[in-house]
Amino acid sequence: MSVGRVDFARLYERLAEAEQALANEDSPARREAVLSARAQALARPRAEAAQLSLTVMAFTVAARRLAVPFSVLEQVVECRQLCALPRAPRGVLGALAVRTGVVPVLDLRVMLALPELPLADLQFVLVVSAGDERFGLAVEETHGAMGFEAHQLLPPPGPPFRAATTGGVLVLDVDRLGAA
Amino acid sequence: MSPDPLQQIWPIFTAETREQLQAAGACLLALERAPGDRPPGLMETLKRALHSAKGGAGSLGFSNFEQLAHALETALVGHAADAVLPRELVDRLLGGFSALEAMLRTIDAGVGDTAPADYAAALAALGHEVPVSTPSLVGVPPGEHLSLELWPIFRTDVCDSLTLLADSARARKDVPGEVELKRLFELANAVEQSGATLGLTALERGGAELRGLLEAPWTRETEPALTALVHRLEKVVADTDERVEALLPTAPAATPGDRAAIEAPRAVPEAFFAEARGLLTDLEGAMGRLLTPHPEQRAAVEEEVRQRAHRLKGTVGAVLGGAAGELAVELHGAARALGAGGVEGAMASASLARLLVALGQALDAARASAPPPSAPRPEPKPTASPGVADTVVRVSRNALEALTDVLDRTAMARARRAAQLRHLLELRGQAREASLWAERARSELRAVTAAAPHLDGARARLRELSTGLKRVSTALWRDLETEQIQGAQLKETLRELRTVPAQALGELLRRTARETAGRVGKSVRLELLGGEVRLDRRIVDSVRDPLLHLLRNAIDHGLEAPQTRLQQGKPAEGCLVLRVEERGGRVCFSLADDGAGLDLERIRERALSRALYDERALAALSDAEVARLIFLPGFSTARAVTELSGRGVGLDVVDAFAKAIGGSVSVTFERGLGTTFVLDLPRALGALLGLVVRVGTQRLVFPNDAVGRLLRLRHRDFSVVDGRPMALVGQSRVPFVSLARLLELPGARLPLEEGRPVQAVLLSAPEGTLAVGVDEVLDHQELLVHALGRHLRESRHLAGAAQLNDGTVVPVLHAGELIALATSQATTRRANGAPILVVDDALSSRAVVRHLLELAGFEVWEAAEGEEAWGLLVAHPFSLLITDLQMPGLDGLGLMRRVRADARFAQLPMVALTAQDTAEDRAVGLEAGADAYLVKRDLERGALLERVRQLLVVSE
Repeated sequence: MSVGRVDFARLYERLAEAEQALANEDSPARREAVLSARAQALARPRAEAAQLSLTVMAFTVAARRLAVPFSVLEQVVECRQLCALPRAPRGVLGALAVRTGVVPVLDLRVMLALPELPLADLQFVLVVSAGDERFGLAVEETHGAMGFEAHQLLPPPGPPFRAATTGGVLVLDVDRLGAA
Repeated sequence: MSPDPLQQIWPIFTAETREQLQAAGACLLALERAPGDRPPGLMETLKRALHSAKGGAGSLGFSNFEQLAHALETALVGHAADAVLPRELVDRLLGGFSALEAMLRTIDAGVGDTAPADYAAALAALGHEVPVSTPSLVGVPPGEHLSLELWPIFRTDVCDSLTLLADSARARKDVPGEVELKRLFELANAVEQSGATLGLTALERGGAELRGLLEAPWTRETEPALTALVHRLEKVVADTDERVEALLPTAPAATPGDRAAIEAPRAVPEAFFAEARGLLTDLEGAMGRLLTPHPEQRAAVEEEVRQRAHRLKGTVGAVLGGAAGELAVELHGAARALGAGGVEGAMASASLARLLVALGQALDAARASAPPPSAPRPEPKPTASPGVADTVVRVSRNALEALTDVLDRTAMARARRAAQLRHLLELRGQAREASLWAERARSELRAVTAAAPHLDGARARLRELSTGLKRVSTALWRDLETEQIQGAQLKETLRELRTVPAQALGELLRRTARETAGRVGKSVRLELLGGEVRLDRRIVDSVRDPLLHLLRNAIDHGLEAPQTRLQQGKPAEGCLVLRVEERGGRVCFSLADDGAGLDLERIRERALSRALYDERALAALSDAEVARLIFLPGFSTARAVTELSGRGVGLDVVDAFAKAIGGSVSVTFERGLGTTFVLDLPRALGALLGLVVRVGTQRLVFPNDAVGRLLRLRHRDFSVVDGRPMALVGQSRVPFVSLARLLELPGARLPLEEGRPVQAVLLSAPEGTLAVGVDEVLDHQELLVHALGRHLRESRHLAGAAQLNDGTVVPVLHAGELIALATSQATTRRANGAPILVVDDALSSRAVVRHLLELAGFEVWEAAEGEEAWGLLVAHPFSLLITDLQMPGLDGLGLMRRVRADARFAQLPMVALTAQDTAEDRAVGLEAGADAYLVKRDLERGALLERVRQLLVVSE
């Protein structure tokens, strides 16, 4: 709920558990085995885990068909009265008031290094939530919801994408966007 | 389904009473002080609060509550208004208060004033008997006894720990080793924790005392004291058993020979079976390890089996009894025999295995016959409202958000209406003008004709129209003004709803300070400064635990023992000062103690012994860096695991918390004088009074508390020191920069050039002071600042963004970072040194380039063609040459060739700037010696400045 709240009680509990676990651990070899299994599990590409069906909001930016998972989408607003933020990074267009407060609006053309086309108007802002923060993505057009079954999903070309679809739509991983 | 028609009134009662109790609690603590040392009238307030709480409880039928409140009230009888309450009485009263609060929580949970675990103790302490019908029947479903319901599960642990403690105390003839001591600590701690969880104060205190004993140096008296304490606690356990027995619905008499019948009646929580099963599995695992090929490990495994069997006995025996209970007792006996060795040992392990299987079956049987858990019950939430100083009325956060939203919308609508009204006023002016024209036309016409009925008609209408419009617009204006005032009031109220004064933390902190100090045998006074500072609720909620952590840490480690303090000429009572301060977009909580300060030597030792640092790396650290080591995970300077948590969790948790919300924690100290922890947190979610300024068309906000004053600077107020413009403010010179330049805003030039004074804002922050030139200062407004998140992490000069009253979004600047930015820009500019020469025959493109460069802080000279440029180049040092290619006379290519041919300019970087963009042009330009080639069409700010900066770095 609250931002950055540390649940101390839970933390203590977990520490106690961890200590207990360490105390119970009998052989270093076994520990080694557990750790390496865990490392392998973590190293597995994200895409493998994400082979479920997916509903997305598709949109166009710089003639690209992109999408965000519906699960992270909070609202879609018109891109009007954007407030310029002085000396902001190039990928940030400005700040916009939305229902839940004020969010920064990102320029995907810059973030994804897409060519800027003349006369392309960024008409809408998709407000998405990533972790405990929210931001907007300025887009040219929205195409509504699209559902994809597992077999229609391909591994992503890399971050910040979460998946590609057989129809050529790239699904963004908003958590990784701009997380250089 | 409401069992009590009055139940809808309960929340009102609890809210009101909680407030009264809070106030009363504060009075109570103050009443320990001498009458001169405290505000008058505290005793009356205290008595009044208790009396009305009692009355309220009585009218709602909360007899437990009423009884306890009455007991508290009587305890105060005979104490006059100026009496000083003895500490011991205050303790007893406080015990009663927490029992009252516990009941408020159960009332909130909808189960009435269920007597908490320490109810009887609290009553007894106040000299009252426990009423015969302990559970109040108001709305309490049978079996709902909150914390005590958990007793059977905790009981095992407690009994276990006590037995082990007593055993080791008895067996001990000499001072225990560190490992042993640590184990004892953990046991004492477990007892205390169980007490705390159950709300069983006697147990909790006892656990704390145990810890205290173990903490002190081990002497000959320790062992008997320990044993005595354990006995006392065992009595507490027995008492609690009785109480639980009385509270839980009793089992019907068992028919002999029918064991299952005994097991059935109690509503056994599902969690119990899970726990028992877990214990069984553990025990099986331990049994398996008994067959270890390493005989030297056998003793340890046997010990483990014994312990687990003991726990199993406790758990199963306490909850189930019957067949399973008996089996568990047998099992425990067999486990004890394990160590005997020889045939007996072998037999013991064989019977253990058999008993394990039997017990498993018995448990399954008991579970199958257990009645399903009784009707859905409200979650017991003993910790639901941790702070007594919490919200008085619960308001959902969503409702607040929605309210804010509506308010913003109405503000926007109002702004639009104001614009329409201004239009209306213009129309009125026009109507009046038209009316005047008509009058003149009439007088002109009078020379010609006496009668002009149409014109007269028009005149009359126009006059009516004008006065009508005036009436309407005046009325509208008045309404609008009223609305604006109301809007501002609403907004203020809303802000108050979203924020709470820091004072709200005080009560909880004071009480914790007191408890902690009592626990470690110290005495402490806590002062709160800045209690009026309003903080966002979310910040308050999240800062509570870290603050408590720092507080306990300060009492436990920061303050010396009273005797030591006296020896050092300090008062026995330690003093803690918590100061809450706003600093720009941040809020600082600094907690200072007047203790011994940090012991750097011990910190170093600890870092070494914990292998956090090797000796060499440690030696390289400064004292301040060594002090910071205490924030490392797993670091604890306490010699034993005595702390609050007792689990080796240290200040790293506070550090992690601060970092997680974009803040920091730091420590400073003075040897012998005290330590200060500063928790510096963003107040980005909090309310902020902002100064709204305009630069060009952009509006921006400075946090008001960083604004020293507003300045109007004239020409004579300016000077240049070391290449940096300075403004005269009072008697001193302060660096000056225009905000447009600082933030690269497309701003107008300084009005100074037109002879007008410059409007400036004097900013001051820990980073320094700075006069910032703006176009206009517009307004002061109360704002809610929204953080901008990780994508603007690097833009530290932005504290966030906020919505003004009219709905527009504005950036909120961070004064300290702005000052730092200005300083670094000034340094860069000096490093840039010599000016840049821009050569172009077209005035407009020269102006564009000049403007861009100047905004970035470069000095620019201009030339219109090659020869002129050459003349400047040989006479002055330049850092960079930017030249157009097509020019009359000596063109750009010619100029560059000449420059490159001259050894004096070997280091001068050159940029070719042209309208052409073909491969050939590029090749020719680069061949002529250009270091970079820019097309005018791309003369976009980023590209030019980026290139210029690259080249200037290279050429240095």
